[in-house]
Amino acid sequence: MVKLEANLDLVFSYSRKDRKIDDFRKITITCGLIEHAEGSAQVELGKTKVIAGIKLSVKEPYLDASEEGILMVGVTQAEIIRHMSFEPTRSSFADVEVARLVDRGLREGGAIDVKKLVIKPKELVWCINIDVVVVNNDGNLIDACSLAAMAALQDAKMLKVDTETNRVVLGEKTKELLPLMKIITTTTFQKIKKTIVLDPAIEEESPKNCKFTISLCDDNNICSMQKGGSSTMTEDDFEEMYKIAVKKRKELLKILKN
Amino acid sequence: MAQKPKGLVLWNGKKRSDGRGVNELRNISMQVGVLPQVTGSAMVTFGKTKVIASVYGPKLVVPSHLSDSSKAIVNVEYTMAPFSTKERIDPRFSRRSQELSKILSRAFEAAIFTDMYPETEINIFVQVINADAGTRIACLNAASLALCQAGVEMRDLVVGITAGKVDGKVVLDLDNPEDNYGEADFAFAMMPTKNEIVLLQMDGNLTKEECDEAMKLMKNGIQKIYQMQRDALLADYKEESK
Repeated sequence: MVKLEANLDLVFSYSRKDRKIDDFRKITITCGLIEHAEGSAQVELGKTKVIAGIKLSVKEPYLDASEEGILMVGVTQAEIIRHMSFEPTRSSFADVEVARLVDRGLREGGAIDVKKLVIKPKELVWCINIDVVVVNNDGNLIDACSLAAMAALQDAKMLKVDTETNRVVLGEKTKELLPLMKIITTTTFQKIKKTIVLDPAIEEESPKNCKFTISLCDDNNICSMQKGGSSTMTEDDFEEMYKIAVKKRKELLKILKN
Repeated sequence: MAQKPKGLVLWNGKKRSDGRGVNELRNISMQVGVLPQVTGSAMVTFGKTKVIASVYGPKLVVPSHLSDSSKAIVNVEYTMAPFSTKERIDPRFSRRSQELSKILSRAFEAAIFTDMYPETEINIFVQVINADAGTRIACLNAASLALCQAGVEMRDLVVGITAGKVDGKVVLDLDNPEDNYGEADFAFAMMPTKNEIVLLQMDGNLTKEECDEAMKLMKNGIQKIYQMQRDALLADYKEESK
């Protein structure tokens, strides 16, 4: 047991040799790299690489939200790196968890003004599909995917709709942007034994640790939180993570603005 | 979040739509040993929400190559009966049930002494019979009782509760209209005597102060529910020893 723990520390110190426990890895965002998508962004977080693409379509609204547009997020791992799934027996859960977290962060935080996505009340609304493809997984997919989704939303342009046939005119982007209301930033932590680290790399991620994700919107309000992993946390941990999340929101906003 | 129907007031300054105060729980009932053939089972109701949990194991893992030689595997399966909601729901395993199952199994992995049962699995099944907000928390409380009845060694009972914000007011234990039309919902579970958080999920829009307030309310609520869980277990043992 002692041996195992010593090893864990070694891995931990090695992967953090050139950054502090509350540092992100280098973040690079490239917008609009996919021509066919209405909006797209590629995010590189260290070696983690994800591409988000937005497609618009028109749909009938949901019965319980008849005056609102629809926002959907899907995350898939590219088949080429299927072997890298960190829960190989049930590989799909990791995707579902990331997708649900990104989805809830954007939707509950009100990133998009869904009321402005109505074409004909109770009949026809815009449906925004954000699909994120993970091209390389080097840890912290949640932050990479939500950053990519947010950047793609900023990049996306509206399409025209043919009101007679109720169909989208494909391939004709207008200059109008999507009705963005708020910018959501997501930060994920991993509690390794008693140390809390931001932006865990794949060597630091383990289902045995406690994982914690916070999404913040305007005025540093919390719009989504989730604890993952099979370890526990305390309220003091939460206070500390909230403080770091507020600090990092400024950095992420700066990156998203450029 | 769905649109709030006009004229629905969730918080009028004194009381909530169903007449409760800010920190009042719904009617909660807990019964241990509802399924006689199963080693551990429990039924929990929170207002109109009703769930049953059953526990099988620890037993050897089949197929054995999936087993872990150092600890037990904890599986939770969360299902909703097709008739449990207003609109019939598809009984197939949805993305939501998949997520909740995983969230719940992680909460119990933290609480169970898994290293005492190597090479085994502990299967927990939670079934929602009637859904009226707070199902994941009701399931968690039921599973905690069922595990205890099955004699699985745990660090503490696992106790959960929800809170949320309705019409700008932070309140405890949301009911269905509050969950649907409120501004935030917050699910929270702890091991009360150890003061450690095992489950935390929040969606909506809360300031830090509101979040702290919600946590304070929930910690008080958890103490009450903890006592209820202990009473339910005691009642079961008394029944058995008769």
